[in-house]
Amino acid sequence: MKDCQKTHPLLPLYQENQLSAREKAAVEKHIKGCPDAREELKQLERLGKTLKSIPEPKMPNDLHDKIMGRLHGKPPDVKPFWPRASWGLAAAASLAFVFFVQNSESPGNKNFEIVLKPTSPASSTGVSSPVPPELDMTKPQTNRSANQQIALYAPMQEITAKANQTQVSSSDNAVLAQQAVPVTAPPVVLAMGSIERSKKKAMVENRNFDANASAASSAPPVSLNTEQNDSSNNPDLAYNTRSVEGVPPDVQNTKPIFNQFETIKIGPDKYQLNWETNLVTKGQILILDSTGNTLQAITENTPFAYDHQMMIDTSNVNADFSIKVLVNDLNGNAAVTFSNILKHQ
Amino acid sequence: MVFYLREQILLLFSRIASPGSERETDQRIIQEALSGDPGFEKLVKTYEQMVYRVAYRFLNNETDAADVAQEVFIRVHKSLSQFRGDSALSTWIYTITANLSRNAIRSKKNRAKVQVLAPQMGEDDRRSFWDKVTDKKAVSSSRKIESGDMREAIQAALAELPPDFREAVILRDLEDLDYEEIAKVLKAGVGTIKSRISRGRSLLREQLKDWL
Repeated sequence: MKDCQKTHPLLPLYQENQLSAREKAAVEKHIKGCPDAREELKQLERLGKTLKSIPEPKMPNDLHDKIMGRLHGKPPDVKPFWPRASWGLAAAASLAFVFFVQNSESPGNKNFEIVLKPTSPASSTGVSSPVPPELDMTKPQTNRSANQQIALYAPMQEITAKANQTQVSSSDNAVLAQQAVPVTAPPVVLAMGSIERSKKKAMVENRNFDANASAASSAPPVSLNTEQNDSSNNPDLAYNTRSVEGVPPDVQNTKPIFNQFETIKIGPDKYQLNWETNLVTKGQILILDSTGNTLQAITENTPFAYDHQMMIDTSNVNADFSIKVLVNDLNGNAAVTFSNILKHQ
Repeated sequence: MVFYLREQILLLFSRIASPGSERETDQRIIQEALSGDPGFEKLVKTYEQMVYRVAYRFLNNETDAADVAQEVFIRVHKSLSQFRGDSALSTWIYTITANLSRNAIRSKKNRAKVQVLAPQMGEDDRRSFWDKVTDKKAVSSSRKIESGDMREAIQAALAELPPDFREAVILRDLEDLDYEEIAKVLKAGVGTIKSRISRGRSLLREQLKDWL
């Protein structure tokens, strides 16, 4: 038995005469006395023949033209993931908006909400926004109160493109992170209605990326464990030495930003997080309590990528919480974003 | 068409002929490709089927393989002037194809993944890949076997191999590259490649033994 465990792994190489003379002699000696080894060897031979008999895949007829077109500067057929998802959500939000306008006086149905928090002017915190206020759909455009629930609608792509993003380098992580704390300010309801997603009714909370929201908040100041933002202090996030083939150097020199981030409630205590970054990144999710302390942390165990999806279970969290997503690109540059406060149930 | 067949036959002969003649063929293709459009299109025609085939076998998806094939030739076009001839041209193109296929797999994997935090992690999630891959109930190749479609079962079993093993087995058993070539393409030692092929075949045999 012990001899079988030692010898059988060598059979695939014996089959191809890739063993040393000594190993080969040992295997041949074992085969003579082991019917299982003989059977395994026969199976391996049949496997080799079977693999070689697999027919060659037929190349698509238009592939040659596509290749030559690309070589002559024609752009590829882009099939981005997020725009599809975003437009789907946008369509749903549009329907929800119509529903909301028709039912704005009877706020009974709250199965679906898209919430954007009001944001303070960038000047109040000294952090400049990359988005002009008049274009920032995440900010209230009038003095409407939350109770009026007058909806602003923009396609999800527009919202996310114009959203004020929290972009940090390792040096200014601490400053921005302090400003980027989620708050409990009264939300502006963007749209309300019912939507079916994955055959389940879900509450979709679209968040803004505004690092300045805390300044407008009446909530008590929240302190963060800013060490979490410094990749040099976090061995899980030290990717500085890595490089990936296929990623142009000029792209690698750009700082990461969030193109999209959303939290989708998919069940009691369960949330799906989707985010997209402009560079390939790897993320860490931190569940924060109302004082900003980290209750739970999980690091993506998948390779660097643009699109990320993570499902989390917060049944072990016994208070209101928020979700912080910290991403690092291949050069170790960091970006961070937060969800709104999520209510404990 | 006749010209294309001639190029394919030339490529085939170049692989079984002496390394010297292979180098000469490579040199000719490269010089023609560097001289301009008709030459590069000839290179594309010579290698496009090979590139698509390998990408398809790595990715198991037609659309992704076609996308990777386009990117491969963009890369070849950009870098051909820097190709030093340390290896055969086909080996270099295999290497680019393997790298870009890996990138495509990474990207796709992250789009499809769903992670659940520890409290929801069931016993099944804690088991290693190795436990799962040998568990007939857990893998789709076994379902394919039960459904009686051997070809699909092989494709599924290949797809379920760990990427390192899958790449090595595909390059050896389907592409018929020798161990040294595979080591160059996958940027690993020959011993490592032998180990990956051996373990990959053992896993495949385990998965497909009802057919063998």
